[in-house]
Amino acid sequence: MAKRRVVPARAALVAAWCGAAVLSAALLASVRLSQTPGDDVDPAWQRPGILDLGELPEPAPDLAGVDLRAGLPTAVFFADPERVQPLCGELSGWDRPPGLAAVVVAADPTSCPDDVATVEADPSEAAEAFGLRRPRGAVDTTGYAIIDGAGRVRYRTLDPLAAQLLDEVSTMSRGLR
Amino acid sequence: MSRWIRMFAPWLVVGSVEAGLYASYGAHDARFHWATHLLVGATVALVAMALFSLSTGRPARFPALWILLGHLFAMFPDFLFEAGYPHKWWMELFLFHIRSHFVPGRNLFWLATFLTALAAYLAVLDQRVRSEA
Repeated sequence: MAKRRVVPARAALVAAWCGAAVLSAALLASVRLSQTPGDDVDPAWQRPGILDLGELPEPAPDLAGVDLRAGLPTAVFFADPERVQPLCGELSGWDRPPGLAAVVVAADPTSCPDDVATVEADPSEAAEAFGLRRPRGAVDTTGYAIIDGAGRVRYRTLDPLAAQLLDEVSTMSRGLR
Repeated sequence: MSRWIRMFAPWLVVGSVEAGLYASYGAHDARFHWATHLLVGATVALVAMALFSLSTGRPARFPALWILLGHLFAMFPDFLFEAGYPHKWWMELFLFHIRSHFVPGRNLFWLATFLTALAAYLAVLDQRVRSEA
């Protein structure tokens, strides 16, 4: 005869439910508390997000000296003074998807490789025009926007680690259609 | 002693795996993803466990494993993303992988569904399974 499994007493079941409620609420609180200045206010916009969510796509603003409506998808990076050199260093070795243009907006983007267009401007102001939020605290924006061939913003995010996560930019750029 | 080990060892293993997954999402400042897919996967797993117990009159064995499998299924498109495949709408097949981030209340909504599903499963254990024992 098959052995029956014993069901715990009702009080134990209630205790299990209460324990699960406390534990899961604590986990959610820890997720909330672990947000950094690079996090978006609305976490659903955080990476690894997808293209075309919510209010996107929307037309990209003009960027001095760069034609974002030339038919090529473009990754526009915004880099604070501290991160522009590491970003440009990583961009020079980046295995960029074919047909994807790259632009760096920074106060001093001179360290960027030749095949990357540069715009000398305040990265925070430029990023704001693309719909990126300003990070909390007195720091400049670091992040990027992905523009499709029709000049529409398809994805944007603050990302202090953009230089180390260029593979994610590649992946999302391949999602353009 | 061995009864306690049998009871808690699966939870320890699953807890370790979940801690690893949590850390991996943390590298992307995307811990909310981990929480969403865990709660969605666990909710579906608990509903499946309740249906199983209702139909068989037995508790589901290895409940921690059911929940882990539910989570892994819900987050599967994120494994694909890491492998270089961008998110597409067909990935909604994985327990509404994309839309689950956009329900009103977001993770609080999924916390409520998880706790409701857990209550339902425990009620099935208390009523249906206990009556069979």
